[in-house]
Amino acid sequence: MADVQLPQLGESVAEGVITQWLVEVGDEVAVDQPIVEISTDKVDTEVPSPVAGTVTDIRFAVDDTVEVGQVIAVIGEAGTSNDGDAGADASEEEAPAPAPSAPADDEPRERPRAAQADPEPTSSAPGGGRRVQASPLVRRLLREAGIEPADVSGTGPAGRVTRADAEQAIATKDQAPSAAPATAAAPAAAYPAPAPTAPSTRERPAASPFQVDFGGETSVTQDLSRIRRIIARSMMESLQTTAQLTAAVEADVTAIMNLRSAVKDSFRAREGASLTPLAIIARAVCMTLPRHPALNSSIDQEAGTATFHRNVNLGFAVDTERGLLVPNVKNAQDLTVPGMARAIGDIASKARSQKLGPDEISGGTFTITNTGSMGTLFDTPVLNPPEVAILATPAIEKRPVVISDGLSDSIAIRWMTYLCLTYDHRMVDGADAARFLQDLKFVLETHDFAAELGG
Amino acid sequence: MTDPAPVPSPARLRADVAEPVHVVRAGLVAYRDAWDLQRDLVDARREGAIEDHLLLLEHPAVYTLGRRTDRANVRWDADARAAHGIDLVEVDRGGDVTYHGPGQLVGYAIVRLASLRSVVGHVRALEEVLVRALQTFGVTSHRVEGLTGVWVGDEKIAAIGVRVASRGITSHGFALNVDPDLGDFAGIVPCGIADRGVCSMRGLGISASLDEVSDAVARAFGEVFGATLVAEPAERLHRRLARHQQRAPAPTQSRREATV
Repeated sequence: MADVQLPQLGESVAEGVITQWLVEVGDEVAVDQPIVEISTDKVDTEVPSPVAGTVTDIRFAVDDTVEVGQVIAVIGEAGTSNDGDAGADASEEEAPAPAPSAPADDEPRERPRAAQADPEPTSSAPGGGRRVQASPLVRRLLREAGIEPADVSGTGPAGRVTRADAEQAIATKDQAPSAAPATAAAPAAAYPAPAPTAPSTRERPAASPFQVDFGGETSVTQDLSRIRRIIARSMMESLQTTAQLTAAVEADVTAIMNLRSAVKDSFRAREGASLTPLAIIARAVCMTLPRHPALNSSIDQEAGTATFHRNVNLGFAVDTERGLLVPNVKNAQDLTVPGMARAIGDIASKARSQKLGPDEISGGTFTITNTGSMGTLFDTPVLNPPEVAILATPAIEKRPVVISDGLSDSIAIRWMTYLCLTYDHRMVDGADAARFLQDLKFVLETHDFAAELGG
Repeated sequence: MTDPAPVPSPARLRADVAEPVHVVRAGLVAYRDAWDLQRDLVDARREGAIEDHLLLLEHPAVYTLGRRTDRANVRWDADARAAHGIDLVEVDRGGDVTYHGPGQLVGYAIVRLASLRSVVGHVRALEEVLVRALQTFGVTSHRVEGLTGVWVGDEKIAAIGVRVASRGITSHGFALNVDPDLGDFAGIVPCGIADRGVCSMRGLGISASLDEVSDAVARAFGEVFGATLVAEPAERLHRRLARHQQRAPAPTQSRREATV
């Protein structure tokens, strides 16, 4: 459910006149589809829908004068589509152009966090037209079973893969397990194992979900998908309009890892969310940021101003099927570790199922990108303007480190990680970044998070 | 919130402020053809297939009606219009009735705005472009609070009307009276404002060709919109659009035909 407000069309513009409705109550709309035209001072402006869904309410008539910020229409959940699998997963179904997107109110500029909006799927199909119509739930079922949606023949309209098709395919596959690609057990020992320390059950990491059909050619040129173009543009913009660089410190997170392994099962049972190192690091960031206001700010060089944020709207980079999204958790400074864990789980699953609301992808003040989930050792993340800092949390690994107890040094096996902070040098100096990182490291290494976890 | 500068900075106007603006001098173009061209440009701009464009051209005589135009502001009936050789077209822009004709420099700005917040700022910026361009010919013009357009004294020398499509893509723009037949304005109440007249550069004693005025306007546009200007031959633009349309699927938005 999303309210469509009259956007601000200029600094001193307080109202607009509705000149034309482009939709009616009951119409399905896609993200960014224009729904109404507003006239202000010799300008007619199309106002797009912030989300995909069904128009449930239209609050003003043509020629009505509306004040900026007034709700002019309401977009509800998309209606159930009629493709035959409208059963248990009806709530997972999406309109043909799914996904909530950028805030409609004042941001036509596209950003990666709004990137999942793609009203013309046919124009952006990677892999030369092998794009498959299927709901997110069906895709997830197939993915979990190790089946490519493209390998399933759909019986729904336009070849859409329905849930029944997916279940059929999964059942068929289970009867023929030899086809499973994941059985990369060590080969018969006719030659030495490649890495003596590797456990024999070691599996090869997944291939990239994006694949190219070369069709016998040596190279294939495709138009960039809209999402790719948006990400490309905003990444270039970030690099060209800010003075960003990365600093890192190494942190000993052994205490956190030990605490986590002690309480994670009871935590999951009690909270219904995983206790991840990310949740604890995010909590530590929120305990640290208020002491370093320059990192929780934005800069407007044109206006010669800096804006400091008392609250932390903590963004998390989420890798989704459709591309990178950066939803944020509002007022994250108020959350304890369990609250943070739930909030992260919540926005991540919304991002992956394309159910983010427009306010969840705008208004972030600081971002964390958890590259460690893919095992990256080190990272130089790119800023998400207008934010001036982004923290990468790469892999947490056991390493031999020198421990000093004041009397002597010893080598110990400790859980170690790097904390990589990209900051905008226009706003934040190297010493500021270092102070923040040292403070964050101190909190991670010394704070007793057990109290928040209730043992 | 007060905005001390009515004209936003280039970075607030253009989403892609580092990219150039392509200036197309299209010559004399029928209004409907130019309108089709604009819609193709808006589609292509939205898709990211082209960068920002400024079209500079002239129209054969035509009255255009904004969607909210009061028909009473068209004074001449069909016969009178036919006698003067003036067409009538209803268009998808803001503003009231407008006259276009030979001797008038029409500018269409296809720009991706940095934010919907700059919608009105874009209009102010177009006014600023014309004020600056006119200054180079020694004409001092100004804005009038509440009356969009560019004025010399109490007379309007340039009209402005803009449309902003989804994703903040602008179209339409301005019409600057260089040396039009001012008599043709008698058939309408320009922009619905009855108590103010129109004027032209020629009427103010400036004999400048449309080309010279185009030069000045393009330069001023580059200044105000913070853009490097790239001259783009009209044929190349048409080829580029044709290529884009071959690749792109049919536009998803229905095109509302409002021609009368």
